[in-house]
Amino acid sequence: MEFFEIVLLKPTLNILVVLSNVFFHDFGLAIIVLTILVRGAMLPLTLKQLRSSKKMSDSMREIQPRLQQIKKKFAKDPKKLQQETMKLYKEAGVSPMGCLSSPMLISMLIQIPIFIAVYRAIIQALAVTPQDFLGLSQDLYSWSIVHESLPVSGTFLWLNLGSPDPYLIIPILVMVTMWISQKMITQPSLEPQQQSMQNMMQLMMPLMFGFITFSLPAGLGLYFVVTSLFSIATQYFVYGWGNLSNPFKRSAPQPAPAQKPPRSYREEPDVSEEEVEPGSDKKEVAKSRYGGGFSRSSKTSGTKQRKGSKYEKHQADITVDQLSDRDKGGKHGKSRSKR
Amino acid sequence: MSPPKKREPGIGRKLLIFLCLSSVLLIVACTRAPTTGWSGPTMNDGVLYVGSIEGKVIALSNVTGTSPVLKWEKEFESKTSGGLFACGASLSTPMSTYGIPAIGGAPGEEKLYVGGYDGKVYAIRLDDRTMSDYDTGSAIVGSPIVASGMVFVGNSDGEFYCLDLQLGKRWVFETGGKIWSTARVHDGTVYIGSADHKLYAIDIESGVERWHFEAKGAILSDPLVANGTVYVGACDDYFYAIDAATGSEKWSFKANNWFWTKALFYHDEIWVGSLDHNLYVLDANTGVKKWVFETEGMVQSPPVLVGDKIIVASGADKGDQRGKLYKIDPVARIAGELKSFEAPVLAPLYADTVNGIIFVHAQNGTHTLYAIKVDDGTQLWQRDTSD
Repeated sequence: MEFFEIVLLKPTLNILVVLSNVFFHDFGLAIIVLTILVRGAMLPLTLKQLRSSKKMSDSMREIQPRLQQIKKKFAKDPKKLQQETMKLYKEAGVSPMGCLSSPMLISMLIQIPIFIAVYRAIIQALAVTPQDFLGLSQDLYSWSIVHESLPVSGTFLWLNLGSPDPYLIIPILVMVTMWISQKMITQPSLEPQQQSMQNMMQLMMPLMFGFITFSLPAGLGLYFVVTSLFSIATQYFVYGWGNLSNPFKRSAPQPAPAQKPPRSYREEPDVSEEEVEPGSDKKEVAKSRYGGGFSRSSKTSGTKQRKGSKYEKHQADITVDQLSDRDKGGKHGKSRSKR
Repeated sequence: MSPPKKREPGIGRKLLIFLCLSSVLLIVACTRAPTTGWSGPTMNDGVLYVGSIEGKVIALSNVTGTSPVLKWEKEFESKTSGGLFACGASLSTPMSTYGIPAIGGAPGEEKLYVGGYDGKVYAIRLDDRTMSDYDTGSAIVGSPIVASGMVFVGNSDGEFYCLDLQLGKRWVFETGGKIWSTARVHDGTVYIGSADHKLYAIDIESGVERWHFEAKGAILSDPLVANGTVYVGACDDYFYAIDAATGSEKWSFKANNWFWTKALFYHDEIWVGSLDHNLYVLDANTGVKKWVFETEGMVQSPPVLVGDKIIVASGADKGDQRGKLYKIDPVARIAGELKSFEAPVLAPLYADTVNGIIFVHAQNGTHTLYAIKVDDGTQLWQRDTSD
């Protein structure tokens, strides 16, 4: 803990106070500048993390059909299923740990203490209560500029940075910017459970942070907003608008960009929903895989669509069995040709 | 056909809940606790008055014996913000009080004046305990003082109020920073420090500024006036001697940390504690350091004179939260520990010079009032004021 304070917290706190002096004794500007500086310093790590994440999700999406096949094939042999899955991951260069894989984990581990240091430095510098201000005396360097800058000015625009925003603009901005930031980078998942978790996460985290900001000093809310805006800008350069281009779509899966669909798709693209046996749960599997709101696919599934954007719709109609069968040379394909 | 299986919560959902909870906990843990106050005691006609953490003033009698008696207690009606998220506005905790209650008024009509962190000045009649208040609009941290039939108090919006004894407003003087220090009145002038780095000298009748002195840091300590000089420390590590008539600097002394507390004038010497853990003894005329005594914590409480001994308390240190009381022979320059407490001493001490007793309000979550004999450090009694 002492190491954290000496190496991260105290330097951050003192720089923040100096910045408030340099930027016209405006603590709001100091928070914005410090956040940008810290995020800027960590930009190489952030970019590495984002690119690595993007690469992994692309690879993951690419192997999904084969993964489903394996699951189906070895459903009754968990050991073999695990072996084959790991083999597939290895071939595709995908880490089963997802975002917890190295180097992403290392990148995250480096960034988290820095964010905590900035967060705590803001709270300390605001020194709302006499106890806070008294405690501040123990963490300052002996630089005269630091002492001359205290106490920091708590006024920024309409805000008293040491109190919650009375107009609730900051909490709303926290929610909106955080949601946009998350929406941009969240890659649709083919796993229904994972997809459900992602959807909930996209909503829960901004709501939770917004709720917390209702009662936190506005200075911290400002920090959350600037952090999210910086993330949005950074992510734009890696993902573009990503998933945000259609913000209210329920995260339907899309093919990996600049990648050809699996060979089996191209050979046997046309699968109709009549091929799913009545009463079976195959349709449900497909539905849940691609989200409940994706029923539009059933109308187009009977037609042959090989090119352009229609390929996406077609892909959404393929059931697990169909994928499996087609790889074998598929009986569905044969039976269809007989009709 | 098999019955539908009840869906168990997946690992993903558990992970999500864990992430949400840990984020909330992280934010709460990184946020400071709500204010708890540090009220020093005062005494009048054998009754000891002190503010509590629970938003009350308590009056204790028989305090020089071994078992004090609760004479009365009065609870303030307001609450200040705090609660779950420390700075929360929606949830509230009892109002804390800083500073020392002040007593004033004509004989038979004495009132106890208390500054509340809710921004109100409370006046409680000592005979029938009826209470009135005046809302200054922002948290009061310094003590109200009563002088020349007026009540002086500053608030965290930088406003310095002069009220009459019935709490009617006479004038308001605006400064550029928080006023957390206690004013001092001398020869028709009231002196008050502000977080805008200035010490102001204000005419008590008109509320007009006579002069101001600007330090390099916030002035949160109480000024001391003696021999035509105002002595005050600042949050720039300097202690200043300022000409009371003109506001010009006579001398300054640099410590290793801020000065938070009032000085004691004793035999042409200034005794003042600093947050660098030291108690400095300075020549009152030149500012030359004559002696220094190192305590084991920040010196936040002013030294007091009891008989021929000077008593000083140390507050918290980062590694050690125990408060300590030291007894010093100011002539022989011999110091020794008088008493150790489990909690730091942040509030001003009250010295009963007649009976040789020091009253100490130590706090660390709960507030405890102690009565200590200066002779040998014997504890007469202790009482939890948080009850």
